[in-house]
Amino acid sequence: MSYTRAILIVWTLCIPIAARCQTSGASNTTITLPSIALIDVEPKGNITMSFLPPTDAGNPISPPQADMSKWLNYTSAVASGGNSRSISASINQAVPGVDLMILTETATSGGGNLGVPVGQVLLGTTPVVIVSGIRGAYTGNGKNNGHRLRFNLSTNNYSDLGNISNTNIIISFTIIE
Amino acid sequence: MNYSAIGISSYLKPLLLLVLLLLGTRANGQRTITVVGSSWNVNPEPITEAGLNYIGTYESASDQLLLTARVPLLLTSGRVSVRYEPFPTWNNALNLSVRRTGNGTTTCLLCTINGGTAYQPITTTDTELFNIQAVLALAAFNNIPIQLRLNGVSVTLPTGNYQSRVIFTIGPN
Repeated sequence: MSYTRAILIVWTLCIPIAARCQTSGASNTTITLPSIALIDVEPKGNITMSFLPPTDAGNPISPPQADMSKWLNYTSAVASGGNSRSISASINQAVPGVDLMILTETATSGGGNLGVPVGQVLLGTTPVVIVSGIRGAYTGNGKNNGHRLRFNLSTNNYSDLGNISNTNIIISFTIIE
Repeated sequence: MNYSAIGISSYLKPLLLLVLLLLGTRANGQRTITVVGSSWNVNPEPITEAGLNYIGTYESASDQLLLTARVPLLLTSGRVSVRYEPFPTWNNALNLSVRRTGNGTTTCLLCTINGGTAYQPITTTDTELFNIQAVLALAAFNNIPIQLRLNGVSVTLPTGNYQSRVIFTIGPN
């Protein structure tokens, strides 16, 4: 066997070995996180708000004293650099002589960039922002999670009160960018 | 020129060939590893109730990836390490972990494979997952099952597509 032939054999044997000499390998992991905007008011059910009659002649009617709280729950996922979201509230009809106000408290549950409540606002048929600056966040689900909503009734024109009876009002909450 | 001309006896020829072959293979870094398996596409559950977050932790199939690692007898051991790199976009809040869920198969009775059976975080720096010891034979462990875990998935992360590349490397201990 010639020296050249020997080298050729060795070289030939090494070629496939070299080709298989892979010292690393890889695999990909992917995940897609979609945009999310969900809102809910808990617990479910209507609120009945009744003015209380005065006990002494000459005194005005009193606003409802019962706890009328609801909790505003939401989940929001936004893109990096995308607009923040806000939540607005409105009513389907105004009641003559009566103001319906909503007080939104700071959320104490959940995580992420939760929104900032604007405090107490007067509800009307035009939506008004009650929480702003929501980005990627979740409040938790159900009563005692999220922003507590307190509803308050007051009179704004006593002379209009005699013309109304029980009225159903729908309060709508909307989350927008 | 031939061997007889330089006085090398014929019984030395196989030995010379063997030495040259071993030198050649050593120069080529003969520990090898191959990764087989599809990409892991994590699909978080849809959120249908306001206020909720994702569960946040997801596991792949227990044999999402199959590694084949070979350590020649002469090198006696091999260290399989793992790291990840964004490919091209990843978020540091997304935490990948990896574990070995089995030994795979081997024909080497005395060879051993150790470590990596508990989840360990994958970072951007190579970290040992498991090691292989070759005893009196080529240590070839085939189809070593690998499971991945992802946690940190949350609506608080920016929306979008994230992809990383998990890289397994074999080298000396």
